[in-house]
Amino acid sequence: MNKRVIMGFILCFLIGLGLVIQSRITDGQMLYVSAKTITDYQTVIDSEKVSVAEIEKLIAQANETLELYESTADRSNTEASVEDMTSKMEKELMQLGMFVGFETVKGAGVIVTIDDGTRELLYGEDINNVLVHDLDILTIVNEMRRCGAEAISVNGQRIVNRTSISCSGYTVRINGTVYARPFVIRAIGDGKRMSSALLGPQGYGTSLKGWGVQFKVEMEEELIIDGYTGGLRTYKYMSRVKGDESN
Amino acid sequence: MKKYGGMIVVGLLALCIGLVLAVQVSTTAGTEQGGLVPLAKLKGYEVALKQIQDEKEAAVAELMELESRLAAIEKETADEDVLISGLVMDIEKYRMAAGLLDVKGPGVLVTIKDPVITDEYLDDVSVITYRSELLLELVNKMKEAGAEAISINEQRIVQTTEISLAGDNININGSATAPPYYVKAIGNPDTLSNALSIRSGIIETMKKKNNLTVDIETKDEIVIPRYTGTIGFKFAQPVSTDQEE
Repeated sequence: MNKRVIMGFILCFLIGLGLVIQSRITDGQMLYVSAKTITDYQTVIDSEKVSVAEIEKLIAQANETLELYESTADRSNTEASVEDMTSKMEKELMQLGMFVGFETVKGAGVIVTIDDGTRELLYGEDINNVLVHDLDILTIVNEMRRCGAEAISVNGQRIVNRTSISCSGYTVRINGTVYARPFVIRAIGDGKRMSSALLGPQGYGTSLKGWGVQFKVEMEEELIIDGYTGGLRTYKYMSRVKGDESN
Repeated sequence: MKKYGGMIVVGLLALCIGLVLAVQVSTTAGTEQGGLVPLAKLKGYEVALKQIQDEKEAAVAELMELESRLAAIEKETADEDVLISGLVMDIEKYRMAAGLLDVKGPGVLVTIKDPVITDEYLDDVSVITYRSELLLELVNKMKEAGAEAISINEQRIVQTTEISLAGDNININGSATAPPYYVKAIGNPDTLSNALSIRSGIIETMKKKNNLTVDIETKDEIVIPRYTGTIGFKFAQPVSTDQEE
């Protein structure tokens, strides 16, 4: 009899425990999302915060310019004040030109040379393993950008906003011009950061070397990267979205 | 009857233990990140996101207002000064080329989603995140097909844009992004969509080799936002012909 009471007690205890757990997890809503969703939300929130900070910087810049403009306006357009405005705008134009890639620039940076591998192929090995592909160049350029490269050129062709790099048979087409191996990629920026990113244990250069592709990085005190010579393109499809549609 | 009484109790006991265990396991199952999270918790994140997005909108509006005031002053002066009017036009063109203006036009929208969860593809592993070179290749192919402006999750692709894995996320323009990915491109919609969906092309690679869910839609009008980063140079200096004179 005593045994049954103990049994009954344990039974009640477990049922109670089960109920508590059950009710706790169904508290509020019945739906659940995976933890990944939460991290994704957090990521988006964080990145929005970063972009708000960046926009605030731009606002500060615009305010500065506005102040300058207004002070020139106060002096009722004397020759000197117009010159202030002109020089400010010329400076902006120069910065934009450098950003777009039309200006020839100089500075410290790296020169990366890649060429097809010369090693003997293993029996039945695909020759593609030792050749340089468009994706290799694209990845190296991307890696350089990640490390803050300010200007990049491949075989003398400046990489601009709309540059595509693509294989066409034995050659690689960049900005519509055809180039063959070897490929010389020049980048202005933090040379140490770029070369260590490319040559580190996880670096893309290291993995290329592993395949047998020739890969060389040189750090330069000063190198010159030519501007893009294609000029401004006319846009057939895109047009500016105006703040107010009236004008 | 009394003989079976104990057995029934033990049977019920076993049932209860099983139940408790099952419930327990289901609450902690799955990932090392903490498993399932109640939806209620997500609401907090939604609110926070909404807040920051409103803040961003307000900031963009302020910037637009400032820029239009600047433009007005520039225009006013330009009417009197030929040099400045030339500069105003050049700056406008360069901004367009640099991706510093909001633009609209016909184009395509490519939506990339992670594979549907199966035993093979677990929930907490994002395939597209770990194959960020697919996005890089997609953008390259779009440029080749003549895209005039491209954005990924509202991040404009400009000259300095990187697409790289940083930790558990893909960084674009230095800010972290999360799937699903919406890649927009302005250009000839037919050329773009046909070039991308060529056999064994980039879309098919994503679908067949990586099990991603990829949709490509042609649109009559797509709006692509401007690049909101700052432009500054630490290493590069202009080599202008004017200086040599």
